[in-house]
Amino acid sequence: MSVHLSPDRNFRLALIGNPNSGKSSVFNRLTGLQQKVGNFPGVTVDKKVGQYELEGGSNVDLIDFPGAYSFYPSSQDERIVVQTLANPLDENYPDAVLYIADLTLLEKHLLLFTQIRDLGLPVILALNMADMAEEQGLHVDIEKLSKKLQAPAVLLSSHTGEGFDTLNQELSKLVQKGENGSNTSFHSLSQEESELATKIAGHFPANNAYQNLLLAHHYKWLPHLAEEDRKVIASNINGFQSLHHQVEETMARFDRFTPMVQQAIQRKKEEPNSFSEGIDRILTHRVFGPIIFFALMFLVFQAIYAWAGYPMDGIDWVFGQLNEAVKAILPAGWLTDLLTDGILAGLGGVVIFIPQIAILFFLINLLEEVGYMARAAYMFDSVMNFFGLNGRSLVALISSGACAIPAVMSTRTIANWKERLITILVAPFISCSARLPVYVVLIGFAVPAGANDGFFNRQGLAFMGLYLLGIVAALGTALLFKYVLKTNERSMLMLALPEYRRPLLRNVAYNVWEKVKTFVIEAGKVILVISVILWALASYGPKQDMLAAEEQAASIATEQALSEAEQEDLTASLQLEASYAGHMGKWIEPVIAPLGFDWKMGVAIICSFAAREVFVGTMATIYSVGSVDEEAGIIERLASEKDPITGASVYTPARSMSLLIFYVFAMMCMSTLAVVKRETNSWKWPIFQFVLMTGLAYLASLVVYQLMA
Amino acid sequence: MTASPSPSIIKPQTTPLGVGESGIIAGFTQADLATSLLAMGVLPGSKIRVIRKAPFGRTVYVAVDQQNLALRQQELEAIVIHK
Repeated sequence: MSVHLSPDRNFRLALIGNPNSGKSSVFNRLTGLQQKVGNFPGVTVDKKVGQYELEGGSNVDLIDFPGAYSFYPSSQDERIVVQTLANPLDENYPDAVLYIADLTLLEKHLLLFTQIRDLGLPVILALNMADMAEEQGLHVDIEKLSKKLQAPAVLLSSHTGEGFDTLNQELSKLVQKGENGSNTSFHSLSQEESELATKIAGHFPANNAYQNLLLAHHYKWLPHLAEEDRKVIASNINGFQSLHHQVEETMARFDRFTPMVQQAIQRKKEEPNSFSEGIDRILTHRVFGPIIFFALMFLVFQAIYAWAGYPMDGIDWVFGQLNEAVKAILPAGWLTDLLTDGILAGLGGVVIFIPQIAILFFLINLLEEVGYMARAAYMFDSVMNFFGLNGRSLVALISSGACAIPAVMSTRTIANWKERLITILVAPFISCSARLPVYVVLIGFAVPAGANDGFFNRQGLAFMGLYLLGIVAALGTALLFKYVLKTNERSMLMLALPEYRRPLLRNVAYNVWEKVKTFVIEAGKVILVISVILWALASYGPKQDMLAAEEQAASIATEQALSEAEQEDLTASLQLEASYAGHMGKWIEPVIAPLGFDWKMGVAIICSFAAREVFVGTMATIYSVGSVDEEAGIIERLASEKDPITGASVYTPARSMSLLIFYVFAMMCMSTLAVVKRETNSWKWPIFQFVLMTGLAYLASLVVYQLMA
Repeated sequence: MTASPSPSIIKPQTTPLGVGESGIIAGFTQADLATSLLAMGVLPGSKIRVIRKAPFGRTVYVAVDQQNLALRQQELEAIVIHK
């Protein structure tokens, strides 16, 4: 019979272990696709919960905790474990713990295990990577180890699936019997420690003295403590040297369990990590290392551009068909327009990003699973650190060259909050693929082809210049934030470089699936709403203006004997001018005039707040080019655009360059803003980012236009 | 074995290891870095070897017992090592 106290909820099992212990592989194996992603209360750290059924029918909620080394955390991520386990009333406080340790590094992976055991929680110890240990000639006497550590222990391999049956049996036993944790503790509290724990004991619902001691160590930041609680603890502290006791406790624990592990384990004499070290001699070489890294990234980008095109065309086609189908079925009217031009267009705008996100995440994750990304972080940490970033920021910045959305989402691996925030804030400066169509349309006007364009094509150089400008802006602002933003967290690297190993495609697939799902749901909501608003602004206007526009189009059409299609394009163009978006364009004209922009560019800028690539479509509508072959058509049309008074070309190099520069810097992608909101858990940072980037865009365009004009 | 009343492991700095050199860890110079390093298994008595430096300077690739780690120079310098 199940003994755990509330029959109205499932048995709650916490999955805890050091980073690189293979914890997430175990999680994926145990729960399959039955996982939900949420947040731990008050923080942006991901909480994955998976449900599964044990033999005998008990349901288990498995909560995946972020990887941690100790109850004395050095990153935001790591804090989650101790903050949950120090509070028996926490919504995630488990009934038992499944602790994952890497068998090949067992001497290093048991600190947190002994701390958890000392809380009196039942713990099952899973020794993962059994297959690798065998390859290395490592043998473990599991019964001996289990007896010494006083916890059930299971050999596991998340690669081969070995040991999962035994694990499930052990778990069933635990759930059925509702076993209690061990009463003996690994660490005997010193006199000072136990006196302090006793003094605190009356005030909090802790299970034992060690839990009280943890409150004393962390009372300054533990979120569940009220102000009075902090005062109570502070008044009992009496010069208790937290850091000193942390060090002593940690040392004592290692002293205790290291001999136990050594007695239970036999290693062959040879250096176990010679294989990875051999590979790293080349992959992290001072010269070849970075070269290989950039070559790999080049391949990743090639793959994105080569593979994402097909599904993206497919998605375009499907949404085109849907659009036509809806228009054919429903009568013409505002509802149909809302469905097609508002909602379907918005949905299309979300779905179109999926191929790029999926491919990028797949390849980056693959490199992560193999163990390569830790090496990349190691190689570039010094450079990144100079700019206030972290070695891991490099991956995000490079991803941003395809799309800022997966880049922002990939920053979760950065432990230091300040470094992560700076990465999120500056990544969108890197020119993403959505800026490309804008560059293609405008670059010819900004940099007219010269006479002696041989090898050094001037337009090609300008292209490269735009990309470089984005990189410079990203690093420059990062450097600025490094000195402006304050943090108490110490910036450290201390990164484990795990053994290279064959990737588990299942893990990679789950990760990709989860990221894509998060993007579609979280960003999708915001994008849809904004798309509908933009649609309404561009389709509606003051009634008399809209009617006048239609009449004017009709009379011009009769006058110039235009075809029906031409008349439709003209009507669309004049109505856009008469719409609220058009009014807004004219309204902001005085503001953007110093940059050389007229109201038409203003409308394009307002509409491409949704996404930069909308620029081309909007320009096509404004100049009534129609929808045939937009890019070529629009280039031709822009070339013939003349000032009605002076007769001079509108798209002068100065004006076009100013517009280009604006698109390099401006934050014009609501999807990114939505993702930044989700990742930073507040509107403060996306708003700040928008103001910063768009402000910089304005200033840069102003300078460029005023200098060139 | 009982918890040893270990002497304080906070010690004055020694000359840091160069690339290719190895030694035995004796302690740490700063308590806060010590807790993080200890948690990762960088312990007094562990064998440490500096394998190489990162391409652009101040990050090092070290082996501590069977484990490979990337540390910044400041963290390496916080480890007291007897050659």
